Formats: sequence, C-alpha cells, structure tokens
Amino acid sequence: MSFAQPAALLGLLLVPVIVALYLWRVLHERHVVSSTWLWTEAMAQFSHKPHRRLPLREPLLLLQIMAVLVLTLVVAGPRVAHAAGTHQIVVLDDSVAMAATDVTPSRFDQARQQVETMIRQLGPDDSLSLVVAGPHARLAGEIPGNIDLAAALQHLGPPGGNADIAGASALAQGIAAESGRGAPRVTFLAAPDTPPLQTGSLPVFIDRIGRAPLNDQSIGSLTVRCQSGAKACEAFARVRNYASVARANTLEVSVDGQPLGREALDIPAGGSLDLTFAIPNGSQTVKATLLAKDALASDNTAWAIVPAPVPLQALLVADNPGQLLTALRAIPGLELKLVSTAAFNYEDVGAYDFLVLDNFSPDGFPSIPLIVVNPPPSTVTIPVLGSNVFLPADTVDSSDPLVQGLDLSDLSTVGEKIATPSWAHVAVGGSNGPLLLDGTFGGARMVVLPFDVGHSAFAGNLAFPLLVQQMVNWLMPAPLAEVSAGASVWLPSDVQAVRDPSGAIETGPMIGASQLGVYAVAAGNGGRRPGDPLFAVTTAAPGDTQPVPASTQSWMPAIDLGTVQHGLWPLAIIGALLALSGEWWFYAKQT
Amino acid sequence: MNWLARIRHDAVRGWVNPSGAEPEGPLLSAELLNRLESLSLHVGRHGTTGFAGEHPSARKAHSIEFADYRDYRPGDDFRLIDWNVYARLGQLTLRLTEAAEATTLHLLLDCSGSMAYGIPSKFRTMLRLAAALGCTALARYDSVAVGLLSGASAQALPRLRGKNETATLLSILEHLQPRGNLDLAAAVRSYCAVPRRGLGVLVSDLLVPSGTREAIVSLRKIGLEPAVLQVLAREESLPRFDGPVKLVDCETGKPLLATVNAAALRAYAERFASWTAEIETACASQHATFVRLYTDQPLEDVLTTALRGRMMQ
Repeated sequence: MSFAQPAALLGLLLVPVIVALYLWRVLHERHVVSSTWLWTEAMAQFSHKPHRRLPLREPLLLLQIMAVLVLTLVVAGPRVAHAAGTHQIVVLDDSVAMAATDVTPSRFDQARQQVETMIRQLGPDDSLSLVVAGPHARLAGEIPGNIDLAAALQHLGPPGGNADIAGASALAQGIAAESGRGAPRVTFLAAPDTPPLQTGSLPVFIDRIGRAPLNDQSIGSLTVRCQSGAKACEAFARVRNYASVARANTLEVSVDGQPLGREALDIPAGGSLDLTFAIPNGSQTVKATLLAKDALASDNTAWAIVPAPVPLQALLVADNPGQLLTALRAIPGLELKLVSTAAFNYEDVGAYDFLVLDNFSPDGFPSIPLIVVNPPPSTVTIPVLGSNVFLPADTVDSSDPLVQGLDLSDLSTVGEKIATPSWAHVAVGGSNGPLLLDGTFGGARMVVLPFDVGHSAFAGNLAFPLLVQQMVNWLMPAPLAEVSAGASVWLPSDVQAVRDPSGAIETGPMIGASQLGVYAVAAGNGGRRPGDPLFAVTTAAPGDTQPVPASTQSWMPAIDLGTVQHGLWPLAIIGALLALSGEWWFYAKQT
Repeated sequence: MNWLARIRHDAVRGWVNPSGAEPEGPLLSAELLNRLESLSLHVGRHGTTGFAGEHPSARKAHSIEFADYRDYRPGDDFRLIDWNVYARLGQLTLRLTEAAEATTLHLLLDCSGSMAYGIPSKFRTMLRLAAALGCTALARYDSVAVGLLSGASAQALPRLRGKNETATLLSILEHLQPRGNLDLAAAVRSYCAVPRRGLGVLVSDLLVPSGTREAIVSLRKIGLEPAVLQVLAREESLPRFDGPVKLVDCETGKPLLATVNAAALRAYAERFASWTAEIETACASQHATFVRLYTDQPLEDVLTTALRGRMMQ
C-alpha cells in the first residue's frame, strides 16, 4: 500500500497525543453518596494517587481515535490497487518568471530536474504527460509515447513570454479525461506569482519554485513616437522594480547599435519610473538596457522599432459630406480625396488604402477597407429593412475598439433600419436595429453607420471625430512593432522572410517569435528592403499570463482517484462525521 | 385545619412538596392498612400517658386485668384482699390489678438530604414505615405526633388521635421532601424542649459524625421511651465502585476524590461496621429499642419480623 500524500500520515501522531491526554487527565467516575464523612474517615489512611491507566472502555477515547484514523487516511489517500497505475500530468510553467535565477541554477532548470525525477520514478503501470504552459499551451510529450520526453525536456526554453494558464488548464483536463490511463494526478510546477490552474474538480498539487518577491528590475515597455515634421522622435520607457526594497540601476540607451546615453536610476520598491528621451530622426531601432544584475536578466533589455511615417490614402465618395469630411481631414497623416457619387470610378479604388461611401453604394463593394455611411436601400451586402426609422442606442459593446472610451449617449438618431449581416458585429445596437457595425467582408474590414451623418445631431458632438479616428485606426492598423516573446506572428503580405536576432532566416507567412531582439526583413517586395527592422520581441513581465478566470484554488491534496473511488469520498466524510457526532452525543449525555 | 395550612406554608422551607405529586403511589396499600388494624404497638410500662387505653401501665389501679398477688401490709386497701385465698390458706393476700392506658407515638423523622439516597430512597422507606407505625397507633386509639428534624431544629406537627385521622397522617407524610443537612442532637433536643410522654421513635439513617447518643438521651430524659429505626440503603454498606472516583455528598454537594481499591473497600467496611456498632452500643446503653432495616426489604416483612416483639405485637 502507498499513499498519495504520505505527509498526511503525520496526523496519526494525534493518536498518542489523545492517549497522553487521557492518561494525564485521570477520569474520576462520579458517584453521589448519602454522606462522605464515613468515606473521609475510611480513606484517611490512603493517599489519593490514582493509578494512571488507559480507559480502554471509554467510548469517547475510542471515538476520538477512530475519527483521527479516518480523517488521516482520507487525507493521505491510500493506494491499494495498482492495476490502473497513476497518470502523472505535469504542467510546466514556461513563463518568463521561470527564467529567474533566485534558485540554482534557475527556476526553469530546477523544474526540469523535478520532471526528470518524476520520469525516473514512474512505475511500470504509470504514465506521464508533460504540458508546457508557455505563450501557447502545448503537450510537449508523454510516457509512454512516440516523443522522447527526456529529449524534449532538454530542448525546452529558455522561457521569455507569458503563460497560457487557461489553455494549460483545459489541456490538462482533456488529458485527464482520457480513459484507461490510470488515476490522473496533476502537478503544476510554477513560479510563485503564476496563477494556479483552473481544473474544476480535478485536484492539483502546486509546487512553487523560487521565492517572492523577486529581485528583478525590468524595462516594462519601450515605445517610440514620431510627430510628422519633427526633427526628432520621442522614446518612452517604463522601468519597474519588483523587489521589496528600492534599487539603484543604470539605463543605457542605444540607437541603431550606437550608444545614445546612460542615466542612473533609483527605482522605488515595487514601483516604476517613466522615462522619456529623444531619438534622432531617421533612426530605425532603439535598445534600452538595465546594466545592474538581478535575478531575471531577460527582461533587462527591450527593443523598439522607430515607426516610419507612411501616409494613408483614402477616397471619400459623397455628394454632401459635411461633418464627415471635416472629421476625416482632421486625422493626421491621412491624404483624403473627395469625389462625387457621379464621378466615382470603380477602377480608381486600387490606389487608395481605404474607401468611405456616404449615401452611396456601388454595384459591388471593392475588397479594400470600407466605411459605409447611410447605405441606400439598394445595397445588397447590407439589407435595409426601412428608412427614416428612429434608432435608439440601447447597447454599447465597450470592448469593441471602435467605441472604446467614447461617450455615445447622443448617438440615437433617425436612419436606416438594417438587418445585421452574419459577418458583422454590433458595436452599438438598439431596439430598431444597429447603429454601428464592424466586421470583415470579402477579406477586408468594413464599418457601417446606418444613418445620415449630415442630419444627425451626433455629428456635432466631440465624440464624432474621435469615432471616425478610431474607425480609421481599426480599418488600417499600425504596422506590427512589438510582440511578446513566444508569440506567433503573421508576417505582412509584402514580407516573405525575416532574420531573427540570432541571424537565422525564418520564412512566413507565420513565424514563432522566440528570440528576444529585433526581427528584420530578409526578403520582401514593394517598399520593403532587406535589413529593415520589422518588429521587436521583448519579454513579458514576471507573473504575466494570458487572461484566465479568477481562481481561489491554491492547494488541494492529491488523491489517487484510481484507488479511492469517487463514491468513497462522501462515505469517508460521512464516517468521520458520524464518529464526531457520536462523540458529541456521548459527551452531551455525560454532561 | 390550621396546622395543615401551616404545613403548606412551610413549603418554602423545603420540607413539603408543594405540588403534592407523589410519583411512587400511595405510601400504604389498602391491604396493608387492613392488616395493620390487627397489630398494636409494643409499649413498655413506662411508655403510657396515663389516659385510658389498651396498653398495660406500670401503675396499679382498679380494673379487671389481674396483675399479681402480694402479702398484705398495714395500710393496704381491705377491698383488694382476696378472701378466697385467706379461706384456703389463712393468709391475708392482696389481689393486684393493672391499669390499661394509651400512649403517644412520637415519630421523629429525619428530613435531611441524605435520606434521598437509594432506590427506593431511604426517605420513602422512612415515610412508609412511619405511616405503618402511625396507622397502627391510630387504630388503637393512641396519639401520633410527628416531629420533622432538619438543620438544628425540629418542627412538631399537631398531635393526631383516633382512627379517623389516618388519612390526615398519610396526607402529611406524602407531602414531605428531604432537603438540607441535620444536626441530630440539636434537632432532637429542640423537639424535647417541652415535656412529652409516650414512645419516641427516631427514624433516620443516623449518618452524622456524632449526636446519636445525645439524641437518645434527650428522648429518655423527658420521659419518652426511645426507639431508634435506622434506615439504610444496601449500597451504603456494600459500595459497588472502584478506581478513581469523585464522591459527591448529596447533602452538601462537596466532592471527595478517592481511589477505591480492595483495601479501601475493606477499610470502609470496617469503618461502617464500627459505626453501626457504636450506634447499637449507644442504644443499648440507654435501653432503647434499635432496629436497622434496608430500603430493599419489603415493608410487610419489616413489620412482621424485624419489628415484631420489639415495637409491634
């Protein structure tokens, strides 16, 4: 017989404690007598030294010992039958926090050694599945299995991104649900700040590796902004200190490989510093490095790409554009051309980045980003159900990037009642139909405003130009500049291959951004030249994870469900409760 | 019935069960009451009260009950000379007759808390015994006086006389309850503060360190013919526990921690025997009738065997 939690057997030490208490507290049986004076005289020659003997017939003692035994065994999880073996499901935290060296040699290496130990200790009927919770949770290998798990372990890391805890939880649950592999036992090897797995009823043993708080100073973010016409760009860096005491450090900034300067920093405990510095115009990459050593070196350096000013070309087709024209012209870097509906030529559309159709619908929508305002009833793609209908703005999806941060309380207006197409998402809706739709149609993004802006009071609202700005931003997203380590990146259509920071060539259309540093164009067309920086890969912050549901689970005893049947839990608990109830009843009767 | 009203008023003192509930049924069965009518108290010649009754008296008087013969002495009443004897023997001989007098049965009942001990309780046994003696007395036109002993005093209830007071006596006894402690000597002395004559029956467990002898002397001193009925529970003579025990005095509530083993039980038995011997000696020295009875003995057996010839006839 073995136990899932042998440490719980320490609970048996309560038995001698209880016995000692009984021996120490001699039980005087109570007897009422008519008078004690005869006894007093008779017992005068005897000293009252009660013989301490264990009251083996004392029901209270037996009940207490029984309760301790039952509870200890329940917590210890005895395993008698090994027919099905144990299915160890090891979830390995592969977030950047595991690269910390507060333990020797590092958290990740120590976790890897633990997995190796577990592999060595597997019995003939046992199996093991290794789930790596990196930016994308994945099954690294299994024993028995086709993949050499020991070799796969050696090729893991170094961790640099965040941890997909939600994905790892789902993966572990799915693996545990597989039948015929023995009793599942999930072990989560994780950094102290990593949230626990959310595995429902599946018990998880969490082994935290490392200490918290971590002595780590990091560059949390590094971005560069260039104003059109300005001689220099501005770089913004946020330096954070995760340690519990203030730390002094030095930030070194270099541009295109050339040192730009150094600055001494005093970072408060658990706080951050925001830094701004000028970058010469024409620079391509910026690198910021914290020079002092700490427990996590990988987040001491950050890279940023200096955005190249690329003007947007847009075509507005309208006969009476009004406020819409004003809002579009206010967008910096946007070159707008206005044509009337009569002068619209379908073949000219290819020269523009996006198209704005106001009270106009061509025979078919072109495959470029579109803003459709007040579509006429003849529009095939957007079914119009009625005209001059009051459209109240009842619901706003605040998570939609088009409306984030905007006050749309005055949006209710009169317009076209349209049916929501299957490809569209309602950003602002109402009882008579949507007021703002977005989606991807024909491979291009499209925004629909089903009312005449010129006749809407909303057009005079401050929120309107901001809405137009955000619509354009969503239609024409800024080029990829920074990704987190470990993320998968779709290369732009004009880039066929990239060179990673180590110099290796990776071909698209999708690559894994596993190397920290700047990825540059290796092969491209159009305006892309080899060597142009494409995006920077930086580490995630320690403890960063992908969004997971809130969890309060911290530790649960690992129970071998293969031997302790599901139905045994209630029975064991009922047994313990009965023992305690009997004890209570007996005590109540005694008193 | 002023005295009965006073009894009920005394409920606040704890002697009387105000509810009147009697969970154990009547003290005496109808059958036993009938049998008691054929019995009478055995009273010594000095236990009578001088009133006409059925008990022989030490005094000689004109009656039809022959007592003895004795020689004539000058001054004797000529009417007592038995002339038949003189005719036959030629001697002047007096024919003596004795007086038949009544008595008063003084029932001194121990109402202390220790009497509640035992199953059935010593108190219940005492009440049944007192009821039997009292009913026997009332059936023979003797008087019955009940004295309730508790603390250091005694409460004397009004004297009952005549068979028609049987129900009253039983009603009084059924409403009594044990409570408190008892200073036996002081309580009996309190009862004997006024001169009384008759038969003084002390019913108690006598579980007091001292005072038994003084109590009997007090009874004897005022002219009562003392009798002592000691009521005990069987468990008091043969305790059935061992090991570490906490003995709680049912009178005072004070605990006594002790380890009871065979040697301790022997010591207790020896002390118990010496204590009972002391009581017997005290009674014998005062020529007091002494009877010890246990709560598990049937009352009928007690009346017909233990008391027969000593208190009953």
